[in-house]
Amino acid sequence: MSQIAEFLTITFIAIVFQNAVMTRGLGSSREVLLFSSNRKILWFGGLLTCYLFFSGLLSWPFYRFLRGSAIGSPRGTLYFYSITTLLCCCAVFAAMFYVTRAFLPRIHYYFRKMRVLLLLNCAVLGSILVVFRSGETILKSYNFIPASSVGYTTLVQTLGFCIGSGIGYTAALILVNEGRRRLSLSDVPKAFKGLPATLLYVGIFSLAIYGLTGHSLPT
Amino acid sequence: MNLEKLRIHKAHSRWLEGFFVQNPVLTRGLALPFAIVVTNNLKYGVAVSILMICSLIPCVLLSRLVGQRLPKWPMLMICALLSMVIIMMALPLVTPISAEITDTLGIYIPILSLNSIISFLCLRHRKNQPFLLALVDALTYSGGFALALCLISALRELWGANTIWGIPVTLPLKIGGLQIAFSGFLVTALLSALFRAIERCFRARIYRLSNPSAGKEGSFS
Repeated sequence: MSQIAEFLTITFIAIVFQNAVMTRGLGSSREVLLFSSNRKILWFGGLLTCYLFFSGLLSWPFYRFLRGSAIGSPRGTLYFYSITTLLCCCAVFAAMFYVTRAFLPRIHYYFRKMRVLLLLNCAVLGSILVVFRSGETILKSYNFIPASSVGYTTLVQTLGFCIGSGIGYTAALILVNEGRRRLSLSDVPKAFKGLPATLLYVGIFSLAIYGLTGHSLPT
Repeated sequence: MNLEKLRIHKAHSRWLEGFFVQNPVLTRGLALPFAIVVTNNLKYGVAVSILMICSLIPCVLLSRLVGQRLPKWPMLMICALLSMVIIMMALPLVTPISAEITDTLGIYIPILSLNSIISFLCLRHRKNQPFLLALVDALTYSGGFALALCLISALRELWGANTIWGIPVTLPLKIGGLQIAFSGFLVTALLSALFRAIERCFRARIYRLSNPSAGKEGSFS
C-alpha cells in the first residue's frame, strides 16, 4: 500500500510541482512548443510517456549497479549513468520503432512522423537523470516519507516520476497550445508573434507554479 | 519592386546566418532549456557554450560524412552518443572556470548531448551540402548559441545579482527575481523579440535602398 502511495505521490509531484517544461524548461524547443493541434500533442505525449517509462525501466538496474559499486567519485558516477541511460534510451527507441512497425502500424505512423522530436528530446534523458539524482530528496521536500529510505532512488520512484513527467509534459504542451490559440486572436506586436509570445506565456505560467510550491521571490 | 539587393543580402548572409539572422536560440528557438535555466550566471553560460562548441562541430561533420549511408534516426543516435562522449571528455575545459560548476549545472551537462541544434544541423547536412558549408554552419551556430547564452546570462547576472563574472558591480537596481528559472523564459522572449525587430528593420532598410520610391513606413512586411 505504501508503495502505491509513494508511486502516486511522486507521479503527482512530477506532473504539477516538478513539471518538466515549467520548472526545468526540459523539452522546450520551438517545434514542440508550436505544435498546432491537441490531437498531435496527445499522440506525441503518449508516445513520449511510453518512451520515458520503458527507458526508466531499462536504465534503473544500471543506475542501481553503478550506485552500489561506487565506481569513482559521485560526479563520475553521475556521468557513468548518464551514458548508460542514454544507451538505454536509444535501445528503447529502436525497440519501439521495430515493434510498432511490426505489430502496431497505426501507432507507427505517428511514431515515424515524430521520431526526430522524440529521439532527441532532452525531457526523456533529463527526467530520468533528475529522478536518479534526487528521487528521494524530491519526496522528502514535499514532506512525504518514502516507504523505505535506502539512500538511492527506488524503481517505484523512478517509474512514478517517469510517468508523471510524461503526463506533465503533455499537459504543459496542451496549455501552451491553448494559450497560443488565444494569443493568435489578440493584437500582439509583430516582433512578439510566435515564439516570443509563447515564451512569455510559459514564463508567467512557470512563475505561478513557482509560487504554488511555496517559494517567495527574493527580496 | 526591386528585390535584387535583398536577394544578394540573403545569399551572402547564408554563410553567417547562424550567428545573428537565424540565431539558433533567439530566432530559431532551438536548445531553449539551456538558455532558460542555466543562464543565471555568466560563468555557466560560457561553460555551456564551450561544451556546445566542442560537441556540435564533430557531430555535424560526422553526419556530413556518414549521413547519406544511414537512415535518419540511427544517424541521430550515433550523433547523440558521440556528443555525450565528447562532452564528458571536454569537462576539464570548463572546470577551471569554477570548481563547483559541474555540480551546479548537474543534469544540464549530460542532456546537452540531446539538444535540438544537433538534430537540426545533422539533418540539414546529411545530404548534398558542401563540406565547407557544414563546417561553417557548425561554427556559426555554436557561435550564435554562445552569443545568445552569454547575452542572456550577462543580463541576468548583472541585474539579478549586481555582479558580472562574480565581480560586484554597482547598479542602482537589483532585481533578485532574474536569478530564478522562470525569468529565463521572460528574458529569452524579450531578446528574441528584439533580435526579430532588428532583423526586420535591417531587411526593411535594404529594401528601401533598392526601392527609393516605395520608401513609405510600413510598406515592407
